[in-house]
Amino acid sequence: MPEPAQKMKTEGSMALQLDGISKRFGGIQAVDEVSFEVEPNSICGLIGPNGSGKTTLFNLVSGFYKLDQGRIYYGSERIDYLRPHRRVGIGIIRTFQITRVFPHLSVLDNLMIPTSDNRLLALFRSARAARRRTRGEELLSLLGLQRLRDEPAGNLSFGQQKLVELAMSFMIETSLIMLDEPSAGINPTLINHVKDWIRAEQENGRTFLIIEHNMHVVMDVCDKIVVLHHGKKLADGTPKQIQDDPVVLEAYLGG
Amino acid sequence: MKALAAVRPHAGRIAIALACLLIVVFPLLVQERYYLHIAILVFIYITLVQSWNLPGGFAGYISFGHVLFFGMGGYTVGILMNLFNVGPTWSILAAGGVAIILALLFGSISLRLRGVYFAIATLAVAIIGKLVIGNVEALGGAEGMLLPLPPWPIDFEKIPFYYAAAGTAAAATLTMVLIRRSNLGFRLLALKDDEDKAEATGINTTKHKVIAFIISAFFPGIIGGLHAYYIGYINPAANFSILYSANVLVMAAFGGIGTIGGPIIGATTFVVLSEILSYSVGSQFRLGIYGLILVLVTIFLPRGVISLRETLRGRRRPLREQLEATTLEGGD
Repeated sequence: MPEPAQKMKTEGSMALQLDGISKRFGGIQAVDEVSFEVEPNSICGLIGPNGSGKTTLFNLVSGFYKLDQGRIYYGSERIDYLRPHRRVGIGIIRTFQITRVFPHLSVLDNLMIPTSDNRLLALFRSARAARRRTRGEELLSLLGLQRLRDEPAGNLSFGQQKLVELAMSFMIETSLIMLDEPSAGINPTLINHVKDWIRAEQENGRTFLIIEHNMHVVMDVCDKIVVLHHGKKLADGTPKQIQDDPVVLEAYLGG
Repeated sequence: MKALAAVRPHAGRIAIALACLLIVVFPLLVQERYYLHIAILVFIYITLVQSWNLPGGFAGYISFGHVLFFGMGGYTVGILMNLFNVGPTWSILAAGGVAIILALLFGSISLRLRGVYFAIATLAVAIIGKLVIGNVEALGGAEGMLLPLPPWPIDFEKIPFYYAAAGTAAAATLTMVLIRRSNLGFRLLALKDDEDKAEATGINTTKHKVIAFIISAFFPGIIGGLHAYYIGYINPAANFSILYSANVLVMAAFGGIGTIGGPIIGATTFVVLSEILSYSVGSQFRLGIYGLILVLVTIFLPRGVISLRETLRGRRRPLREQLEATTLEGGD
């Protein structure tokens, strides 16, 4: 077993609460007074047709866009005015739809980057501390990427980069992980691994908010699903409820 | 052969040790002061290029303004020694302090800009610094001012400067080696690759950039102060000459941006070359040859001379690498 300090946070997941959040780009209302809650320690899916505002909503929660209206709470703390790195500091991390790793750093070094410690002293500590290396190597062997450890991450295939990016979210004590299409570009066998992994991390106390187009994945892993359409929340509920909801069916599943 | 093989893994360290030894005994070996002067110039430029390389090479924030810290360092020493009778050591240390403060003020504003906009801002500030200093009567205006002579005998004139400059260059280099291994160094490399992603992984990018900028201003401040005391005369046109900024960029590109060895190779080559060319082909052709060399290096060794060995090695094994790459792709 790894030493205790390294053990990832098993408690501290809190509810993410979106309270009437809106974002407009010129004439497009990308997100329109959306409210919902992600219960602690749950897996929440975010679905909707292209252009329905899913990624914009991610950018709002992670702090890359400023809200036009509304509030975002994590637990009891209001977070919508915090800069992105501060939100990571309190436990919220995200991945990107178009995978973003650091292409010129090695795969293992990519895993050394995520941090919640920006104090001056921490800046001058060794970047490859043994503890983090061990954790990084563990994750890489779990993903079958250990052979590529020292390869610049930019040389990896799209699917492999996706996995590296996913692993980066598990390197620090994050309690809410936001994944933007984690199964895109990954082969079916590996999708199952990723699903298992997400479930295992849920058991470790983590909360997930997942944008996903693969309905099998969504229906399979999510406790709750939120459907967006033209920036508005169309419905939310359990996978069963969503599958049976005529409004959703019409707008999204084929209607 | 066998002995050679045993030495090989340590070759780098042995070379560094020999180089340090050579630097220490160099003043005893050379009779002509001229050579010491060249060596001092080399150390000054190594310091400047190493410093520039921290925001420039690691973080990808290209600064044209490092001459500001160099020039302000010189003027700090001039002001303290002439107007306040402070000794040279304290004056030079204060020059580093002034550079830090300037970098903090200027960096926290300008580092919000990215890419070419940052470069333009740095250039502007360097020019403004020169104009402001040049218009202060108390500092001699455009004419500048003379500094007190060093107290030691004229025969040793250059030797203390030589060691001080060598020490500063070594300190700057060592600092960069340490930073490269630290979280700061890693995070700067990460934000050079993708600044938003770096922020999304929890890095306070602004703080990291500002701290890198402050460190990279300190050594130019010190060496600017030392240079002023060494030359004994400062004026805005010389001490704030934009040529310093340009030379630093050229040297970094030649040696290898973002590396530790690159600045050393670049600074040494260009200072020595420029001296050789000045008395062989004459100054008028010198800059042309400069340019030609830089063009060739950029075409054939885009990552600088330091990448020469890698580039040669890389050419020899493309097939195997290709094969490996395909296997890995299939195993995905």
